[in-house]
Amino acid sequence: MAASPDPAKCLEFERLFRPLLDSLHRTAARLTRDAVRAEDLVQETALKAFRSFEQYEAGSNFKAWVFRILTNEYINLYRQRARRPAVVDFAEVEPVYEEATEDPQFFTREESDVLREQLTDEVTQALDRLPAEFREALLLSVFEGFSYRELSTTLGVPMGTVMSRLYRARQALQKDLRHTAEEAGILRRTATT
Amino acid sequence: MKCPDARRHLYALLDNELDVERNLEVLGHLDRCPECARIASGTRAFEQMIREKDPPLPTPAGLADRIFTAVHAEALRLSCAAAPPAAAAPRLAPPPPSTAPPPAPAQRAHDSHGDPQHRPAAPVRPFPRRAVALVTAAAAGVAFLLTQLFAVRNPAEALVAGSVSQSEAVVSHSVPLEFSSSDLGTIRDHLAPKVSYEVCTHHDLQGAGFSPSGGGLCRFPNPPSPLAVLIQYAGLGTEVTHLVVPDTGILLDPSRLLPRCAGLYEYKWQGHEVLICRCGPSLCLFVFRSDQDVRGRLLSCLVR
Repeated sequence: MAASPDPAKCLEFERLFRPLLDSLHRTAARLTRDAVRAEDLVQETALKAFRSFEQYEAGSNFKAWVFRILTNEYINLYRQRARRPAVVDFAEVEPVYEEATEDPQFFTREESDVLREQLTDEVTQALDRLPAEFREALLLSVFEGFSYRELSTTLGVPMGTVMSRLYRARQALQKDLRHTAEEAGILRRTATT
Repeated sequence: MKCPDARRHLYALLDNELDVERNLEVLGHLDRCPECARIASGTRAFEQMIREKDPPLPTPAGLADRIFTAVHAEALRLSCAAAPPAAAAPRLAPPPPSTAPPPAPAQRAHDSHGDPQHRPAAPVRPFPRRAVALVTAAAAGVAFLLTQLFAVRNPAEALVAGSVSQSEAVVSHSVPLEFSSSDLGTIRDHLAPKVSYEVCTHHDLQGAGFSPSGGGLCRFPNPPSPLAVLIQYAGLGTEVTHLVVPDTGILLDPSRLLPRCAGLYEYKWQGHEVLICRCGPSLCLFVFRSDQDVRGRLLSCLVR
């Protein structure tokens, strides 16, 4: 049974939601890469959050709560993952980053400067090629400044999984861009760290 | 701390997520190890490069308005599906007397197809989902019913609903109005599943004597004409000063607007509620709501 909207709660919802609008839209735009879908996603997030506002615990992290709705809506609307039967919990099979066996790869400052000068859309394309779980974590962390705790709440995974996803996302992104840069002759193939 | 340990914590260091002790350990290592310091510097530069290469899509100017329009419509829908919080709503004026008990759902469903002249004059009461569904199913009939409701109003009776004189309304014809069809399209898309309404276009306004420099008179090209709404803003357009339904002579007094939610107001009028959804400084959605029905009509959408 839907509750009748309390005027004070309506006002409180708008007070809390409005400051997040730009951040929500930025994230939605990066997730969907489509202006119309981004707006739809933000609006659906707003409506769902409003309907569920009774469940929001005052004083808790509203940003993480709303972004969790956003990411869930994104999954429901566009990723479709949630509609597939969940056989294994992704978090359970993700190795924590300390257990990663591959040698980590890093760009030097000089290489990063070269990439800044030479690359254009390749960065966006590389971001979009990341596995969805990695990408969501990275976008929220790098572009929206989410703390690990906020990411844990938003993505609904333990802190260790958050760290694992961010680490692996960054490594995957660097490897992808290094490959791209080497293929394009922007970086020499011998360049290593 | 050795190089592999320091590099493993590099991202957490850059994310300011290390505890103080570990933070000092990593920083100490970077001071002693030029190669790790070089990697840390490169990683920082890489992350900055990523941010620069994927700039944010600017938030559309009207997005906030559109979203909160949708939220207010949702609030309206919820309030219609459940008991309205009349006692909790702040009121600027005493509520009109309401003594008639809400009719049974079956009776309401029957009334929604009956003679509007026989409707009780009580203000809006809780409207159950089942009745909403019934009325939705009979949308065409309800639209006709509402048309009759507004068409039969006696202007003299209607004037008592407000205290603003016609001359005062004319004096305030000073705010240029602009009409954005894209905004209408957005509202139409967002609200179509929730409310039924009629919408007028810019051409409708012009055809009805719309004056770019002095208010607008919105008429419907097709029934339910003669319904029309003139809306005027004062100052920067942040306040509604006069609400006029010209063909019926109805003048609404803004001081009687009852804040119901953020940007959502209601106005009691002859047993009916006029719900006004205002989003931002310029966008208005009028939803006329009877005591029998929750059908809405977008009578005027004037964008400054």
